[in-house]
Amino acid sequence: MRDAGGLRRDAGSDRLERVAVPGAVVDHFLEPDSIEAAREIIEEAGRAGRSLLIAGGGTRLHWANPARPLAFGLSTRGLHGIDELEPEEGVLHAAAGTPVAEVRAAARAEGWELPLDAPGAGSTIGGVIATAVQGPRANAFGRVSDAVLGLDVVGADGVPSRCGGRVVKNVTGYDLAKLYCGSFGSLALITGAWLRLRPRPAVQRAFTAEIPARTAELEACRALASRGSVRAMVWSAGGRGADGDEARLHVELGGHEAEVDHDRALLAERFALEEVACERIDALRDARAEGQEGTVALRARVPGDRCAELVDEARAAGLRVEVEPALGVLHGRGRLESAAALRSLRERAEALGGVATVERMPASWSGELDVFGDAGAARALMAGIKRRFDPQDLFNPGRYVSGL
Amino acid sequence: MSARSEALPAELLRTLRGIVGPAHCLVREGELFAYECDGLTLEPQRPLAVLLPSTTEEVAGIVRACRAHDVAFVPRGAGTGLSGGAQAVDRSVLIECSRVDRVLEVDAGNRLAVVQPGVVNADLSTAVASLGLFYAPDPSSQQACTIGGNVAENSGGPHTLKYGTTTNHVLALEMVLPDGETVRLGNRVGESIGYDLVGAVVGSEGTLGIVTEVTVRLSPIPAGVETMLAIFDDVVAACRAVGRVIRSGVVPAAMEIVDRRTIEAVEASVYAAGLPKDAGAVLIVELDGAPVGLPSQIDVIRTACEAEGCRAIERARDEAERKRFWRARKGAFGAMGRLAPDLYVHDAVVPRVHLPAILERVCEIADRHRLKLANVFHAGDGNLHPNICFDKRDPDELSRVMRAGREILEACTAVGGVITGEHGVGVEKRDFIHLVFSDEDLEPMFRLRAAFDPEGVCNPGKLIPTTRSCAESNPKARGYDAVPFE
Repeated sequence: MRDAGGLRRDAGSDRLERVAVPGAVVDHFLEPDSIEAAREIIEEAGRAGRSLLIAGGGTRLHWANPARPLAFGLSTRGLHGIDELEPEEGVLHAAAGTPVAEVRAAARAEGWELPLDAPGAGSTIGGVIATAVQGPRANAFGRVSDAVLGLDVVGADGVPSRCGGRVVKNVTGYDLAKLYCGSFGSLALITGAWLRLRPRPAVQRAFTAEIPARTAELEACRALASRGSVRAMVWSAGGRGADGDEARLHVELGGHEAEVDHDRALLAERFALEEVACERIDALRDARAEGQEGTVALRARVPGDRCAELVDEARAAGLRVEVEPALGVLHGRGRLESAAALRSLRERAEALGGVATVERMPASWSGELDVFGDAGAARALMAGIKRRFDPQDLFNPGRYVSGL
Repeated sequence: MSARSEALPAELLRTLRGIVGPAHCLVREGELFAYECDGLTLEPQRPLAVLLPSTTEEVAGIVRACRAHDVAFVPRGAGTGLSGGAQAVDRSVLIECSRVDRVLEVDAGNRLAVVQPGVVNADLSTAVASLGLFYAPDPSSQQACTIGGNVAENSGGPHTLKYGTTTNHVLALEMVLPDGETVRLGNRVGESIGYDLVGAVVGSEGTLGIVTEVTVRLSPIPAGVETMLAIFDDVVAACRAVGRVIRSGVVPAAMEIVDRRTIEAVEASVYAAGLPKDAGAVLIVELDGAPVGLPSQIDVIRTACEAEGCRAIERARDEAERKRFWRARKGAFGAMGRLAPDLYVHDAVVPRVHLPAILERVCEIADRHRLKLANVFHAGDGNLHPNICFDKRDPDELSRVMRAGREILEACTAVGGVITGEHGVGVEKRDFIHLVFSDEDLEPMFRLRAAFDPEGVCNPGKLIPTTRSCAESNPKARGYDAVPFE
């Protein structure tokens, strides 16, 4: 046994790495290489009353409320690999620390597609599930939880458990996977997942077009975005006055050849399409994982028919926007004068009937507004769940919604 | 918690009558008789009272009053559930949602509707059809079952394969918590702030609170629909054809198999669809979407079925023929019901690759127990529905039905399957949950339940063992043969 981060442990590796997250700094990451090793770490942390920064690929650690004191990091990167891939079934089981890109490639090699579209090369399966982060193909892929059939976790008491299963239809017991998806590591350490794959489309094509940055054009996009073969549609424009008044449309179509051709023709009636490689959509996606110090990244989702109003406000505030018209999703990026300006955009999204999450903001604003928004009357229920799942506040204390 | 009252306390009765009015507070023996069970008729239990509230405030008032008197309460939709989820165990009162049945809002632009829980599933689709929209989850009972019941059970249906189950179509909920407080979960865009409590509540079988309003996603009515019926000499070949289709990349809206025993029952009934009585199985495949994309998918289906030696494959030429194809599937339960006084509709899921072997095993189990069993199933999802016709007045036959049921579930879970895909655990399978989950797996479920209902007053005795000690002391489940039946 050796001593690591103040804890005694047997398996996995340790990494001296100073990582600053909102509200705290950790100097040490433990990387268990088995569920049993993760269990030991968590049990020991519980005995010592020391809280953990839960991490996957570490690509979105900045995306959180200020943490209460953290002892060290617990990374799932040592839990790696795809242990089952059923080509006949279209399901697979992967350890939480497996990079999404690796799972994507494995599925592709068997004629399937992983319906997780998280931005960034370093994303892990566990991290994507914990953050429920979507990409531009959410139009076709749906929510992250739609792809999750079952989860393996280690609880704050150190006890491994699983929920759901490997079958595509299942109402046995509570749907805890829904609860863990998007819980930002606040309830349990995700150690593995059964995932549902999608058939790879027979044809996949991407197009781009330059169009006027007008509400009418955005509405036209929204009408076309619900066509059956539209996998991704992203309308992007600069802040008003900064980048002129042109927008760019990116579209990815997929499915059977006749349907793709038909939908392409419909789009071409309205827009001057130029065909590009589908990797252009990947690049759009991965750019969302990048961000400079001092900038803002806001993701909002509002009812589709109100999206144009939020787009106007975000652009007027000077943000560059990417809009997914089918879903009413807006990504706003750039610099804002103050936290109040950011708060104002969120309030606008909420007033339109939606939500807004702050994925990035200047460090000095941390604590001025909740990264996730106001959970309202459901907050008490959420606090009760956190208290029962993690009574010692071991996992990511303070980092989740309402400081849970 | 203390032992619950055997009778409704007089003071509580007065309070409840004051809340809903005497006409909507049923306590007479004759009135309660109809509420002794839902679609699971094996173990009837009479509620202390049946309340028919008409507003969220009335529901909240009932809940607060019951809680004050330590009386448990059970929400009930149309009572079509097949696992006893709406049964009033533990001397409970039933809160029946048939009077909260209004469609409150339809937002065609954003494809959503806000409805009360008593709205009948099929009525919602009818109400929005003129807008070119429909509500996708389509359980077999959709002419009677309610949206509230669907939320409780996370109901599916034949078209789950493409459209998903209820959980994929619920954006937000209003619910009365077990302490009588009313909360709103989720929102119109279907993304919660914080934990996905909507996702946790859908499928919780009414154990976390009483849903009083549901915001659902609506889907566009597909421009084209193609329905095909393939006839096979044996069910194993039909299952293999399903595997080929799944592998091809085509995602049909539905893929349903009806086996030889069911065909015989259907063809001898008013649901007769003109199927060859010597067929081993029929496979119904429905495709939908843009018409331009359908012909190539039809070719894929045809090729897959022919590669597995299908005897014939037909494509519905019109709506009348499409309905005829579906009659073989949708009339199955009714046709089976003619064969004996009682019908036990089982529900289990296996990985699709195991379907052929499991079907053989299910038939072997039934034959060994000398039972009349037929299979109708959602083949694309691996969701089996073995149906057993029997007479529960015959104790020996009833005992064999229960033993066979357990063996079927054991066979399914042994290959990685689960004990229910869409009917729910309820009371029917509560103690079989250990075939799927260990005590360690159940512990977080207890915690979730306790976070909503620490006193255990909301639909007690459903979904998971009532207490941890129950689970610990009875890890192998009580077994159907130990259940006292009437």
